[in-house]
Amino acid sequence: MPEARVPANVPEADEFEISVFGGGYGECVCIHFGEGSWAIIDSFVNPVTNAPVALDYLDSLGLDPNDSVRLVIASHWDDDHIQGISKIAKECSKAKVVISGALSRRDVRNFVATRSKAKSSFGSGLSEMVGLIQTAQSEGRLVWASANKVLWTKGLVTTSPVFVALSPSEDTIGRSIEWLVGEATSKRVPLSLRYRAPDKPNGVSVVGFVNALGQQALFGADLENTPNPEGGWDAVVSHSNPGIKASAFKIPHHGSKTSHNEGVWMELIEDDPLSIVSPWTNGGTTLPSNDNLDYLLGKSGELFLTAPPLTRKATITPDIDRLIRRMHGDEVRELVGMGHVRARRNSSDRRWLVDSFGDAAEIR
Amino acid sequence: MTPSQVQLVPSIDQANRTQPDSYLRSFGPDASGSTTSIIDPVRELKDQIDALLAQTTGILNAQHDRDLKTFVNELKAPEIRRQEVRSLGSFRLDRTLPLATWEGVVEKRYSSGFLGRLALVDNGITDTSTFKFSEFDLEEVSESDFELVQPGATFYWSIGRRRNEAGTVTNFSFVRFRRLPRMSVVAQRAAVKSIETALAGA
Amino acid sequence: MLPLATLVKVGKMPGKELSGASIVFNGSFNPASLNPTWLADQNLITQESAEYALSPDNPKPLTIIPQLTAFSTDWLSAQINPAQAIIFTDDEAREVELRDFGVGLLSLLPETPVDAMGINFNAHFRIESEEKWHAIGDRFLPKAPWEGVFPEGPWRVRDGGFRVGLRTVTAEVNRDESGPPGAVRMEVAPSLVIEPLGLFCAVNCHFELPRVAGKRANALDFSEILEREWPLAKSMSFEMMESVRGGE
Repeated sequence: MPEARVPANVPEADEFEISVFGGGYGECVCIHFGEGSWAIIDSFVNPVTNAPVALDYLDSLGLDPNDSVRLVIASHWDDDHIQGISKIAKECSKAKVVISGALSRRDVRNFVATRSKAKSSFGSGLSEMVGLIQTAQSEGRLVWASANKVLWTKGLVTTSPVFVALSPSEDTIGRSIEWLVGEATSKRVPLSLRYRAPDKPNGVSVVGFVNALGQQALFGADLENTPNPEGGWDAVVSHSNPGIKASAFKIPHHGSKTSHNEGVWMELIEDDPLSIVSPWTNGGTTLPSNDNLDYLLGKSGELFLTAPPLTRKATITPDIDRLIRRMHGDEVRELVGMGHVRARRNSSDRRWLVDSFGDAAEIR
Repeated sequence: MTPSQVQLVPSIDQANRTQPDSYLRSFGPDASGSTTSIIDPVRELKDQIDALLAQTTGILNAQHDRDLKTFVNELKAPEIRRQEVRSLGSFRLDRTLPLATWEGVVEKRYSSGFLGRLALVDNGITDTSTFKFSEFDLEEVSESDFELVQPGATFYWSIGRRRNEAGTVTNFSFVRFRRLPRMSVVAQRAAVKSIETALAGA
Repeated sequence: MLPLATLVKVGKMPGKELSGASIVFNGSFNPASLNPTWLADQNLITQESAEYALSPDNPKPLTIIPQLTAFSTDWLSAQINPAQAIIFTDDEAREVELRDFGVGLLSLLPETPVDAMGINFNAHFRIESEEKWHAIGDRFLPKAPWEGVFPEGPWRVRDGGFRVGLRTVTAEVNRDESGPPGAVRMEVAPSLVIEPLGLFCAVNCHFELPRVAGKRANALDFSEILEREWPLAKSMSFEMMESVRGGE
């Protein structure tokens, strides 16, 4: 049995790479889909370098984002997915910039609040949204994603890489616009509409599917299940099945139960796939929980976590720590670590070759 | 930032100054108002007030006139004579020393408090490269801010020490919520309309 | 924008005895309308702050007349006349709220003509030694060039043998076309509040928007500038004061 090859630092031209970065509050995915072409999904900032992790990573590979990045995708407008993304859009000056074709009700409320300056510099990430859209729109690079829209391809040749959006669904987009119109004109929404537009940004996430170099991968963003069968994962399974199954799956919504969908595992994913999940915590709730991990382990051939979803007492200078202990009822906590899971595969590999860096680890 | 050529400025265009040349600038070197040079900000404002009074004496009632005179007389505050500084020692001045200020977002509201996600404010810049978390009791929040404690709301948390005029040092930790004007319904609708227009063009 | 890595963490400045931050707007205002009651109704200050500002127990002066509004809450002082609005705090922990108050005030008066804005930071320092105090003075307030300017006369000779003393020096840089027009000015002077060995520094970050096709700029234009430039003004002021105080 030949030994598994050891990938070089930079992926080969025919080597598909998925790199998922995450640290408890922040997720970013870098994808190499052939011949030096990259896509970046979401962003967070490296606290050590104060730069978006995607740009740090490309820099470590000696790559110029200007030349190598074809797509920058903001899957949805949650704060932990878009810190630094407007900077990425500026640096990747030739890349198409993809955003969801639908806005959640909270997105709209946040946008309105931003107009009245009621939002903080980081509370809703709206400054990143505005910066990203302004940059991309002014340069004619903005793409609004919707289900089954091809975001990038090199041509009509069957072996050409294809990057396609599987969401938001037409129904989600329609409801979002109807709600917007209602809010703008204060007209009442008709009672016949059983389902409202998604309230949270997760509901309008852009799910991506890549078919390149003989490999297929599904990137689940933060999409969850919804009561509306024409939205969420049910709509993806019903209306956006790409017709070929993925062998690698970036787990949606940090592995939460609300994103578990049997239809997705049966229809869109191969048996025993490689699954990669990034954690999330708001200091109280943490994802994935142990139950979530058990579920994912049962579905995956290999499961990797980019960092443990934990917090610990923050490292603070002693005089401040003393004051906090005396004057404030609770300790201040910080995230534990950050990690990077890198999976590469070419047509001759039997399986994904996975490395974990930093605090990333395989879950067994 | 590369500064352009630095030169000593012999005089500053008085018409367009945006430094507070009034009693609020009493921290400045002319606090005593004792100079008779051309640039005497305290006297300038007094002259302006006197001119206003001359114009409006017929309109103002006695109470307003008294208030204004008091205000004008107070323009020299705080009067700090050198003798007093020396005799009262070095801890004469009321001083707030914040050791840390965080900008926060309410992640979750409980009945007795809330969970906040925090970013350190470092010399005016909010460091969003890393976040911290802590729970806050409602007892740490002013009553007037209670209604603002909602998920997504912005707050500031400062801890530090305060030294009063007598030199007594106390610790402080206080939370206050960001206050910005309520947006009118008309303005809200206009904002939403602008998004709708943008999406329609997509 | 200065990278965070260049900033000194946790902005404690040894020897800083007093500090203040202010924002000054030059434009056209209606002073009497910008009173504490109205500001509380607009949610910019709490009702309690407004009541304190109006309270006869408040030692700070209160004036509300058509030509002038001046009041102080527990942390904020304001003075508005028809041509200028000044907001100020000497509570360093609340400087970020001063910015919010400024942004909020401007957003309440979007069409109000505003021609210029200044973001200002002042501080009084006690210098740790006489040697260092003189070193700062020699560097930024040099007496020697001035000594010969004054003619012979009945002038008192000061410590150090000089007759002349420097009251204040102000230096400025002007912005280039890459940013909003204006200047940054720094004033350095011996402190008249902290004695002995006191140093006063003031940084004025001045922004102007000229008329365009005869139309004056307005409050909304400056609200964007204030939000964007406040962090840079604050961090720049800190660095500049450190540079002067450090004697480097």
